Amino acid sequence: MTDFNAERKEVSISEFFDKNKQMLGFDSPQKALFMTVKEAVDNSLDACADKAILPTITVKITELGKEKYRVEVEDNGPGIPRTEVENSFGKMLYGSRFFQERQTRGQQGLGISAAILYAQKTTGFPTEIVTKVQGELTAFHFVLDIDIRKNSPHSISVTPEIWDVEHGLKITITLKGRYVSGKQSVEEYIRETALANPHSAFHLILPDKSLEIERSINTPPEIPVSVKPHPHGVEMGELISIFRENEEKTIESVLEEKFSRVTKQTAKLLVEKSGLKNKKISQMTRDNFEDLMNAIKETEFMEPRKDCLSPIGAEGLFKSAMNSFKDYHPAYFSQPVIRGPFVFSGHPFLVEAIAIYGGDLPKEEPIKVLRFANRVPLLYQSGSCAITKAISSIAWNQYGFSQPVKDQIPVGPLIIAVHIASTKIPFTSEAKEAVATVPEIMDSLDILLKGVARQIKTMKKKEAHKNQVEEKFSLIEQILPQISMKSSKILNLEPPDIKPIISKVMGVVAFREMDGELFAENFTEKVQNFKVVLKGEEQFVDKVKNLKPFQKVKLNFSKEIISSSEIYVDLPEPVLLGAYSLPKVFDNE
Amino acid sequence: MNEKLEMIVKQIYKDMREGNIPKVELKSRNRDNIIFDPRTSVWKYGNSTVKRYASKASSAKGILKMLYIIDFVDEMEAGLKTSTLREMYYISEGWNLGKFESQDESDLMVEDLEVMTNYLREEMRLRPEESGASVIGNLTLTELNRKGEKKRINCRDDVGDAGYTIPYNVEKEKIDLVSSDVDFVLAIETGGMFDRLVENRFDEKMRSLLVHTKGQPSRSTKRLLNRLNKELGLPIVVFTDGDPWSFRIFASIAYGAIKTAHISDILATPTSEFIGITASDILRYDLPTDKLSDKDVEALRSELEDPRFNIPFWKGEIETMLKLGKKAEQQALAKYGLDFVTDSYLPEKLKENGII
Repeated sequence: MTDFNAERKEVSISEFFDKNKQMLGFDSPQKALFMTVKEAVDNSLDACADKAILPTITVKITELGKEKYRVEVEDNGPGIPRTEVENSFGKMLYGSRFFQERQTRGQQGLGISAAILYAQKTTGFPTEIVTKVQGELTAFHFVLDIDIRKNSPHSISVTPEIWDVEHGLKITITLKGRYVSGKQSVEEYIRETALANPHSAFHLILPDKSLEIERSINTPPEIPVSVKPHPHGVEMGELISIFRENEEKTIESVLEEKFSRVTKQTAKLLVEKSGLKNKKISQMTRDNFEDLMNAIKETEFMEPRKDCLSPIGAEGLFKSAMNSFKDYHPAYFSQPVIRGPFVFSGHPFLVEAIAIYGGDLPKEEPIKVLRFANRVPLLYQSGSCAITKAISSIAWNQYGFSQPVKDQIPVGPLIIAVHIASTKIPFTSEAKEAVATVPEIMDSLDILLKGVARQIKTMKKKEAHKNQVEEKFSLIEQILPQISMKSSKILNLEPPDIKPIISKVMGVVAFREMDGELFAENFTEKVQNFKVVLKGEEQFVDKVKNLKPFQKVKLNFSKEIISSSEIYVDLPEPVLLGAYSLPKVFDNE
Repeated sequence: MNEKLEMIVKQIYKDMREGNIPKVELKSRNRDNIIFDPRTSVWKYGNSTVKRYASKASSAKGILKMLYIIDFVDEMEAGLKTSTLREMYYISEGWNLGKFESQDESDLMVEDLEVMTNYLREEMRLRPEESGASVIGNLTLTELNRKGEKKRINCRDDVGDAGYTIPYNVEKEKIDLVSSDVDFVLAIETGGMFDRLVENRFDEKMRSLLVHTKGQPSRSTKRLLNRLNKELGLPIVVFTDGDPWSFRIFASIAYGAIKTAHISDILATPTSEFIGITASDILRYDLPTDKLSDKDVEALRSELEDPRFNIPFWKGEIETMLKLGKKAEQQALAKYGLDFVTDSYLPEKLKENGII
């Protein structure tokens, strides 16, 4: 390489970075700080996922001066062997294209090397990395920067260091940034990351606060399987590269061996269709590849394998939602709903969601939508995202939420978290901040979200019942007794007995939840016999015989069933409180 | 204990003793039940009543709150204390389920009690926050001060230029109107104009009693005007800005307001005269004006429907103002100098209206 070339290269990489700041996510000091944390944390989570380690990640941000921050991210992952550190962290435009389809979060292209380069350009500080792998006695402390001319990492120093852990990695980056709290902040990112990765724990030390996020579940997700690309999912450039790397083989055998769902017979057919019989790969022109691509498009294949996806899962979603939103004291968590795997353009995907309702969530504001793609929270570009659009297009008034503007986010005390997992997330742009409105994904999101919304509707009805019940009981247990006390005190007389008044104001059989258990109490003047049906996903029945006036009985249902079902009783509506009258249809069942 | 308040408690107690759902009964405060009585020319309650039963948590809480107020009034009576409406609202913090959600709620309930018992809130030892308006002129009265002494005050000779301040309670037990040597009472809307008339010694020159209403007059100001008219036989003349809102100040002095329809008899003075600024004055004196806002126009239009303005004089003035599209302030009279209002405008208008 001549000097001239080296200079050119320097210019081009610097230029490339400057021109693509936005694409890389480093277009403002605020976003640069955010991206740096994001890249480091995503790397840590990926490293742990590969080895099924339960991640414990510490993120520390220190303000060093005006717009100058130090970001430290430490994990308990496998660490990186000494010989691979430079390549893993330093090389710009260094991609590992193995042509395997697999669900990974690290899709940000230049990833951590972009963060290192940005730091170097803005503050001149090199990046420091401490890594220790299993079985080694010491850790190694790298001070490293990027030689822009050579597009290669450059270690300024490597020193052994004592680090009292079995394995792990710590990266320290000093950059020009701006720290903000609230929306689109580091804190929000970490909180949402914890929600989508219930198996991970975080310690967060920020300039203005510290917080601990505990693990919600103690099982790491299964390591996603790698599969060969499905012919329908492959793009032109990718197709060409795969063939170029296997020039010694025949076209047929590459098709059969390097793609999934391509049989010997289909491979033969494809070659015939595209007129490439007896052609050597080394002789293939761009036109030849285009013919092949067209042949692939016209051919039907078995759907791609779907077992390569890693959903957050019902248990994980539920527990991490409970953990994440406990401060709002929500009235209700929906059961997580998972749909798929389905396929779009040769790529398998699945969608899953959970809703959190009520409590201290704001009633007059638009609902909060949390978007995730392959367990990575999406904080930007919400308006153009498939998830937001799918939510907006639902007629929310059917589910008891107002939608001030049609096709906009509804208003109410609700959070919906939606995760899309796929071997290839169809992002709207390279910035990877919003998911494109692919028809197959939109359809599955619609059904998914309606499933969640139905649950919320049931819950809201239950809540209305509960309020009615609470109000009536507060009347007879508190207000009336106080009226009796107060009036008799003013008049200096004996307090009257209020039992007859209670049966007058009630006149119902009341169903009331206390500590998760369900009780029936007879406030009518007659002995009552009735059947109680709890209807949720399934249906459960209990019968009560001979319940005398003012008598109370505990019904035989588990707390779990009670919390997720509506209550129906075979008594007429006017004598019921906190339950629906059982329609005749149910009766026959 | 106050007899009528005690009756309310006895009714509640009796209901419960007999095993019935306790209730309170009061005049319906629905707009439909507030009617303009043409015989007395004031707003009054009609005959429909509502019963609030303690069968719902909300109305039961209402009854409980009422009991707490009654008990509180009783306590104040025993300790010879009074409280502002706001103080009572804060005191209700300690009333368990009888705690008020807002001061509007507690103020409204005090009005409910007034409607039910025909007692004034002042008689229940509850008073509003704002201080009363001022009076200057040759009126002699006695006020029972906090030492329990009857203090004799002449509202011209014993006070400074700010005048005598009207206390929140102007009922007989507190204020006695002894004598006056004036021909009429002039109620003035704005402080600027009140001070102008004081400085120009209008009270002496025109043998008048000047009352500053401080905008929309408080209950005690209206009550005092009512007593000055009834007991001393003084005509009440109202002098305000020339805009729809000031017309309403006059209407509320003369005919009462919806909110206080239960006590219109003692607050309203139907014989009050409006002297200006009228729409005709704007033309006649060529006064500096402001454009009517949309809200002003809306207010004027609704006044055309208001029974209180249903006489030819008001119809004519309101329509003229709408046609002009203009309004004017009292102080616009200063266009012709500081003495114009006292030397020319008021004497002319008073003469035309037959006051002098």
